[in-house]
Amino acid sequence: MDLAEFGDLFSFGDDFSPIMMLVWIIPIVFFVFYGQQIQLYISANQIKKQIFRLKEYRDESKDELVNYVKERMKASSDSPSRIETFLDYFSIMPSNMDPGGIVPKVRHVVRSREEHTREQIRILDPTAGELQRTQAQTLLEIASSLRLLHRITNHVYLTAKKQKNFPMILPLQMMLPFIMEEAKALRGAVSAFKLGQPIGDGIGPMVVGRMMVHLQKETAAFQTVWSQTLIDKRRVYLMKAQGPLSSVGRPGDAVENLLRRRKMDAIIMIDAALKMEGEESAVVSRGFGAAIGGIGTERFQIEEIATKRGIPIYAIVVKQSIKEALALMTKEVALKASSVRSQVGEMIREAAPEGGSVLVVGVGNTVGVSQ
Amino acid sequence: MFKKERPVLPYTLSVCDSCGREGRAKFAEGDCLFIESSKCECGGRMMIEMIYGETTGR
Repeated sequence: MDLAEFGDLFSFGDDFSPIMMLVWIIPIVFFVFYGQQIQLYISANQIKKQIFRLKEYRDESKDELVNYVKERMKASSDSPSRIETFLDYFSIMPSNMDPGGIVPKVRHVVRSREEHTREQIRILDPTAGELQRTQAQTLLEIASSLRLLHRITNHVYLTAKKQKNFPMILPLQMMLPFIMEEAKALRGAVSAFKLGQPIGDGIGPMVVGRMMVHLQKETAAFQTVWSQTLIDKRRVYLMKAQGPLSSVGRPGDAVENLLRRRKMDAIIMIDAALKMEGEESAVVSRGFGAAIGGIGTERFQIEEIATKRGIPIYAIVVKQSIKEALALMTKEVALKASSVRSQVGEMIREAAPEGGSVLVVGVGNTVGVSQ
Repeated sequence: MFKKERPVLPYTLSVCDSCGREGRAKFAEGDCLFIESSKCECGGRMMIEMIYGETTGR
């Protein structure tokens, strides 16, 4: 194609056509003024589909909870309406204008909520066993979290749409894959908790629980137990949430209670950790510091007492995706338990001299994992 | 383009505390780790060592 033909094609030649000029200019002007709105419309449609899926997860998790309470707990006929009320409970976090001393306040709010929920579930069926009650409480927390995710996402979406606010929809579009990943993981967790199956997060309790079999168990704190044994001439204290309840126990209180009564040379914490994108699943890593998730109050409590007493904290984590951590434990993760146990043995020998004492804490939800 | 999620089947792996024989069965409600699942042929106790999910199909 020579230059003349090129000019003809775009009406730059002798036969200059104002109509052809308009054909080019009108879309340009149109997109200058309405391009953002078109983009908003396309993005909004994509987001709407995801919000619809979130709504499905929200409703399904609520139905599962209602069915569980009806079938397993012989609850009264008004239980669905009571559950509806619990699902809408919210927590107001303490003011952080003066952050000094905020941790006990946060702990107080969180525990008040937990205790209230526990009591409400007990009222639904006072004859139900502790296992059923803890399972129902976890299902309630899952349904409540999914409801919150849907509500916040829907709020941002509707506000952006109402105000035709394109910049507002962009962060939502960026965050939505992460929100959906978490929502899918929560939705997937329902069946495991309902059936009392160990989840990926339970690898810490699984490792410690296996070491506690045949040992005498004592209560260390609410829904948390400990045992004592000898490994390679070192006194080893083993601690985990009380299985097979669906509970993480209160490791903060338990560690504090035990350290007040016993002198330790080291603390070893075993937990599941979120793997990074591209990392293999079920990889075991060692490190330093308190390996414990959650809102941060338990970690603060353990760090506080360990720092005061100058006790080093070692961590062993088994890496997993959020979906794996919340769903039924995968075979790959379960097979790592024996490797983690042998690594704990090595760490005990390295961290304490003969005659010394080490505290080993299995952190995570202990559903389906006894001891 | 879109990968369909493969179903995950839950299994319970028991090991005899006497002869070490392993037995795998489909997970049944009430199974939980480190409890006795059944009696072994040797007279020992089959203890649940693992409960895990395995994806099926290719």
